Amino acid sequence: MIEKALALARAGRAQAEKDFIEELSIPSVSSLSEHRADCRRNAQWLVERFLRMGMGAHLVEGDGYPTVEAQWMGRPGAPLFTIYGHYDVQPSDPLEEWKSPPFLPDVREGFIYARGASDNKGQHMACLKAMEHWMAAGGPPLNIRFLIEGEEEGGGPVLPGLLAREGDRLKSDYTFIADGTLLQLLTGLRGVLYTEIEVTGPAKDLHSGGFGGFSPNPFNTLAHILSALKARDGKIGIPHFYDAVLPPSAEELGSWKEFPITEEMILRMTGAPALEGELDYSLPERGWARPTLDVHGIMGGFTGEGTKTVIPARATAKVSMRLVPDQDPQTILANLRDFVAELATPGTRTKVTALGEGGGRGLLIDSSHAGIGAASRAFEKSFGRPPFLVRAGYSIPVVADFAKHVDTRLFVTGFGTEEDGAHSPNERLGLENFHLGTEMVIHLMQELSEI
Amino acid sequence: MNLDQALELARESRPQAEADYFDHLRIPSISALSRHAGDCRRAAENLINHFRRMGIESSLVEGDGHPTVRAEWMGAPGKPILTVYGHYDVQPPDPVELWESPPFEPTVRNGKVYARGASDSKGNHFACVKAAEYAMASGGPPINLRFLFEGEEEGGGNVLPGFLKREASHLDTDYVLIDDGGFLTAGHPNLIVGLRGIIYTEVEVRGPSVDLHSGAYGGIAPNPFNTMGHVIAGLKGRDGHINVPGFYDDVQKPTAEEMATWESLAITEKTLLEQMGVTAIEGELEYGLLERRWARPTLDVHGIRGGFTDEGSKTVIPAVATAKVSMRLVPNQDPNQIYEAFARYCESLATPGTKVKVRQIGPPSPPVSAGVDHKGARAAAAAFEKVWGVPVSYTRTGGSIPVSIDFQKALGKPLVITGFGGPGGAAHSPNENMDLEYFHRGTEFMLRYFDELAK
Repeated sequence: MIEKALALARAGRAQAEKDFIEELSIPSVSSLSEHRADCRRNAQWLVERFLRMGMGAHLVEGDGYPTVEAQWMGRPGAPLFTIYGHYDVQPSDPLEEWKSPPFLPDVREGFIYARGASDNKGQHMACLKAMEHWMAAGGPPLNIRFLIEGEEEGGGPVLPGLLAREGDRLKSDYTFIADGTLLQLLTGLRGVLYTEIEVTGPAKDLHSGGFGGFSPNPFNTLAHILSALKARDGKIGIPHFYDAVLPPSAEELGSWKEFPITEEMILRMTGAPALEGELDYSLPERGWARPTLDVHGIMGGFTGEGTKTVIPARATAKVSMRLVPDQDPQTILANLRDFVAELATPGTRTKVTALGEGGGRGLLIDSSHAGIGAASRAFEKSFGRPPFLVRAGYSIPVVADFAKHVDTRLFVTGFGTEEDGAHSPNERLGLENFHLGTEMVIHLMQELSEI
Repeated sequence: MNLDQALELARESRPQAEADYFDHLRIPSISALSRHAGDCRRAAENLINHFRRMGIESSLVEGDGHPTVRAEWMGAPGKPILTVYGHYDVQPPDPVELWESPPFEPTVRNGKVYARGASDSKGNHFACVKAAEYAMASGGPPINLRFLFEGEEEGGGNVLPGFLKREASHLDTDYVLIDDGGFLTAGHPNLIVGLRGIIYTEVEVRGPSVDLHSGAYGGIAPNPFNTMGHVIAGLKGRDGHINVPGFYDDVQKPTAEEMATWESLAITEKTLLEQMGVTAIEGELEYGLLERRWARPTLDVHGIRGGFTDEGSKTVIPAVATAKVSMRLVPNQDPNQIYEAFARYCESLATPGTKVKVRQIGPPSPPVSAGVDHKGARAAAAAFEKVWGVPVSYTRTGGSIPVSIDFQKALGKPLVITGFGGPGGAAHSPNENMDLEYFHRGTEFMLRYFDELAK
């Protein structure tokens, strides 16, 4: 059976590209209201494809763009495998930097160029095509559900609401978050705690000539606070900040040693003269498994052209922390508040406000379950090598939503690379990766059914 | 000039003096707003008319901006020349809704006239105009007089500075009075003997060449905002001490005489706390409050540009952060030396992945020391004491009056810097006012000052 599915995939490459191009031509930009109809059209297009191959499919509606839900339950007693993707895409500006129009897919030197090529249409199309070939080969060896949402780029409520509401119904043995990176299996994500630190001093703006030298200046005080929050050596000064930090597993550290990332590469990507942070930790550890603290901007005072000699009444910094397992955002926030209050100078007051819902925890994705071995073997059989075990320094909200509401074993990977320009002009996907990705998913279904 | 006769005339003419002063206040001579350019000229012409009527030759000095009024009476050959500086332009009146009476309809309440420019600075220079008028009517001033009233003080124009530079050799003078100060405490006239200077800079910290995602690069990439925190924290400690190497080397201690008069001023921590709306005062606590305010250099951050400052959250590591940082300088700090030391020190505070660059915004303003030990100051002190019955205080000001540098440079004579308005005059604020008794005593002071200088 799997041979037939694989043979169909190899023979059907031209048709797969045509289908892929058809979906890429729909400008399903979820953040722009003028594309509202396009988003819905894309959702319906997917429903059509699932229905045509013989699956059940419908739209889950909510306060936003619908989620496409499709399932095939033709193997009673076999495991249930859920595949996640999203059909919405980022806006395409700056338009003038595209070499071919973002919604007129163009093939050049083995790559297909279009908005959404790698993020995420190429990835869920590979899964969809794999399913199509399995269906034509007599049906996959296990039960399948697709959840393809339309609000990933904007963070809408429809899919998270569905997961929260119907987590029990959506329970499945394995879930593939097909929104990751080629040959990288995620074993963890950092969470984030985003805050505003406000320092107030005088009741109103004062003249620095008349009051400088004895008036508190919230900007100078804020600098002392920021300087104490994170030292020059990258160590964060908040008391007990590191207490709950779990070290990565030996297996992860082993995989990270081989992970092909070098200081030179990051210097080139960032354009910075040197890297900073906790130099006593390796690059992957600093980027994935160590918590951080970054200042994003400071509000208040005078920032226009020229000079204004003002002692501002207040200064407010946007400061976020990336948290790792097992740091608790609430505990960190409480410690941050106390620490900042201690750092206030005699004539200033401080206030720390958490934005969003008070922060998200870092997440460990269980990598000991059998699905990981299956995914690894599927990669070896298609791409010729096993994936690296990596983490992400950022958070992927949908992963947290699945982890929280749905009883399932997760794995997060994908078929696009970091050079494919997700969110950037000239986004692309290698066609070979697209086709091998299809084969990978065909293998994956087989491997999962054999566990 | 018969001093008694002039003083008597001044007393008799108080109602007329107020009427003329109010007419002057009615002219909305706001130099910063171009639609008031005609009003600025009208205020200048009003002054010219007053001088001409009393028999003093007067003309407008034109330039690229609002004209300066120049009036000269050289009818006392062999006697010294006094040059008096003032300005007829005023600040914009907004927020207008906070005024209890319209800013350009002078209204008297409780002996004070409320109007924009009442204390800053029409009350000051109009008292001089009136004194000149009474002196002319009482036998002529005992010294030679030159008045230079500019129209660009509030905006920092170039007409008067340019004129001073150009015509310095024709502006021979013995004494210079900068009439743009005011009383710090009720009933206590003061001479401002020192002004802080200022250097205004932008400190730029650059890290990555583009904005980065803090999730992907946090912990690895340099963050210019975090580095900026270290730079600013490094520049000035929590104790108010500025760490720029050599910063305090040339700071002159105030004289014992100055310190003694500061102690006698009824300026307490409590009044300042109330004025500022803060719970505690900061800075170099080992120095007295007024010493910190007037005679110690400072460093303040005014704002920091860059990054994300809108509502909500954006997880960006910004490529660049730029802070506005200024330093107030005191005698004898040299602005150029301080700037060099500051720039080098800032650069040294960079973290490995960042570059710090400093630039100066606008020309530096050096600190000014007017001195107390010269005849101009002694005569002013004597005149004030006769008018107010108390000895004069020697104070400084934490701000700078750029034109005083221009006068010092062009004319090379020690300055007397003072003013006539009482405390609470609300310069630059809504409900600016001038106590009319202070205005009249300002006129009396000028008559006595002429007399003292002639001795």
